[in-house]
Amino acid sequence: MRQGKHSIFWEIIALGTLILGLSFLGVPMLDAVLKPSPPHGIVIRLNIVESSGFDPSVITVKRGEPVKIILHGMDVSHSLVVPDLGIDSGPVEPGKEKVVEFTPDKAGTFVFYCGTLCSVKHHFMRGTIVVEE
Amino acid sequence: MSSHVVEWVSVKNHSALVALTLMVVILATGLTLPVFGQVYKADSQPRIIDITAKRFEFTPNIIHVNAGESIIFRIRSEDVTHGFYIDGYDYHLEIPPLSTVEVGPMQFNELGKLKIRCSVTCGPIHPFMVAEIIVEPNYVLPVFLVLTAGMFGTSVAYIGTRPKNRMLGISTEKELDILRIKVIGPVLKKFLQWRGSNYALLWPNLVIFMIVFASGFVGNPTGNLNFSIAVVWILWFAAVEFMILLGARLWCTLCPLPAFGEWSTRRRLYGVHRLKKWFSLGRKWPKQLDNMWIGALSFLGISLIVPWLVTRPIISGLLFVGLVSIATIMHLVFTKRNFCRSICPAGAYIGYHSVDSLFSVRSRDKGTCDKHIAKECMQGSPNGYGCPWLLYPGGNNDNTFCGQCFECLKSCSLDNMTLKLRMIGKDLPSIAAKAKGKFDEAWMGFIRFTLAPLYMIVFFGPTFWIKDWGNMSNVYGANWPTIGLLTPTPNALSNWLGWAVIVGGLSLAVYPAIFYGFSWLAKQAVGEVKQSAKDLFLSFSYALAPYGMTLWVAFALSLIMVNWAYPLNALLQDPFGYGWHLAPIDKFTWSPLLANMLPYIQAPVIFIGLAFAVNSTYNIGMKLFEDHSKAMKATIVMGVLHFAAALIVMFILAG
Ligand SMILES: [Cu+2]
Ligand SMILES: [Cu+2]
Repeated sequence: MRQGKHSIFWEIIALGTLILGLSFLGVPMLDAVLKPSPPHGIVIRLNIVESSGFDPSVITVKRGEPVKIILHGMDVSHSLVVPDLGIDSGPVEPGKEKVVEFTPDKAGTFVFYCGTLCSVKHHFMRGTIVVEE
Repeated sequence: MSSHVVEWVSVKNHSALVALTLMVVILATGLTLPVFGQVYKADSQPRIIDITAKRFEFTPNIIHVNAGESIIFRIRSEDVTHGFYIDGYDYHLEIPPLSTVEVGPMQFNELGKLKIRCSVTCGPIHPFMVAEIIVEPNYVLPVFLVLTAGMFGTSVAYIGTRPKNRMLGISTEKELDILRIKVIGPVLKKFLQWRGSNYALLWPNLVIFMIVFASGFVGNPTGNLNFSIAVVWILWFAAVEFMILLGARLWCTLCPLPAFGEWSTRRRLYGVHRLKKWFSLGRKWPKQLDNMWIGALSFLGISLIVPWLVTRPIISGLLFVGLVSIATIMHLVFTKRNFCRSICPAGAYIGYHSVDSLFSVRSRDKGTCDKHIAKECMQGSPNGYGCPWLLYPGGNNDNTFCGQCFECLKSCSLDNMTLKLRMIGKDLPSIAAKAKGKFDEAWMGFIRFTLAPLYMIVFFGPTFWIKDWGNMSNVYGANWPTIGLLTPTPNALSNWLGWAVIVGGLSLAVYPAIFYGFSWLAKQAVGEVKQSAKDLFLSFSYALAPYGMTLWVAFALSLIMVNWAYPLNALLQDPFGYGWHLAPIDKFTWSPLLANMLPYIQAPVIFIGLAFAVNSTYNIGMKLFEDHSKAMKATIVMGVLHFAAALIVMFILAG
């Protein structure tokens, strides 16, 4: 197909697809939509403290309602331990998920931490879980 | 004097000889595969081998065991969680921090070298955390060395039969006009002459580049879980080596780096502007820089930071932003593809090896082009731009700077431009014979040739200190928010200088010096010729184009066969390492493909490369001296160097 009078038409088509192509730069912003989040699910990403630690590091749940925490390993193996609620996820490998399910039976604010040595600042890898009435 | 000394063998059918040789080599290689049973009887008491794992090394890094011996590995992690995987054995072990895990008793019945790899992501250098098990008696190495010698001997014997314009028995004079193949030809031609074809081919890569930028800056800081590393430095990097072989600069057809600049100067995405008014300052690129020097040195420059580049997303992100910016600015100043010709590090090596591709864009009949005053392929026509790569496509016989943009297929009104399939090494002798002063291309060859075995050692070898020097002892992955974690300590910087001296010294000085030494010897061996040792040095360096390419193919094979799962997961499931599941299938588990067979796959590739090197040197010699005996003598001298290089690679693969 040689260039004809329709070339302006093709120019516009190309410009449209170019903008569409460039818009892929924004795909990370779809994270909220694309991350796996089943009902009552909370995704926590596990990073070393030097990067962003537990992400998020504060989560809020309701007493008596079942919770599903999806742990996703980002860099090295970590784990999630909540001593007051008797939870220990065991190691979560990078690039993999582990699901922790529980129903909190007492209200309050509880500390959780990483139970798998992950960096020199491992002992600072902490977060809190708030159980509301 | 004695012009017939070197005619040992006379075989009429060259192709048959070569086919036979290759079969023998591959068969013999295959024969080393089966194991001679258990050489030693299993002991009653297994031997315990203690290994410590810490980022990113196993100690000891080379473990000798006897075939059939009963072994228990006791592995302790000194820092984070590591994995323990032995090629060909299904042990996916996880070693938790500061704890010890035992595996075994197990026996190794396959002689030779096996690699231990870390199988749990433990940081940026994780994919290259490697140790070796040598199962004794290691007969594989001597077998490989003998086969290398056999290949060298056969190649020399083959050129002793005076093969004229042939590469491994196949004529380099025959060409196939791809656009005249039934059905495929016309369809391909229609597509390539459609003005939208380049854009259509490029668009998917534009999308991929956007994802590379995004993942490089805000994706998971850990390289193997990030698109910008897994897809670019495992999949793309490996694929390019095969693309060169089959499609020359095919990557340049698909590359989005210079696209923004080119579209801007043309003020068109699709059509041809008629007014010949470029959106550009229209400066002329300096003649002294119109060569491969900057490209070759920028390729070396990238190699100096390669342990970071291929493991830290942000370094890749910044590199690509930098390259796009430079390419765009250069288009706005110099109008045409001077970035691709002279600056781009990938453009330099892809162009250098492309002379040996099976593929080319050529005119059907050069006479027609020479007589055709319009020279549309240079000047452009309403249907296509004049060559953006600044060539005269109608008279071109050299793939080096043909970027395969196919504008000449569109602009030529005489239907004289086409795509041709030909044997490796068709244009090489005439390009090499005109090498006078082309030190840039010679050094591109030396850099590429030296780096291939070096990368085999650095990335897939057990030697930790060299990885550590290049990596500046840094244990952190990094994206844009965490780039500060890459701040090096003074001690790490001085180690890196050591790494830079090794990489730069070997490729810029040591190997070229040795190559010059052999060229000087070759000059002594051939006697009275008009070429100086320097001329021979430059001309014969082109034998590294096919030879270097095969070394990189061998490296690419290990890269992709071991780590294929990372790019596939990044492409299909989770480009940013955020934990997405885009495709409705399970994520692939990291699990090397036939990794215990890798040396047996890589060695024949090197053997073929050695044969290419010997045959190319002879063809170049014939072009230079027009005398079989002189070409033969020079080939034997230079061949010894290529033979030695192959032996070194055999030590890396099996020693
Ligand atoms: Cu942790
Ligand atoms: Cu490891």
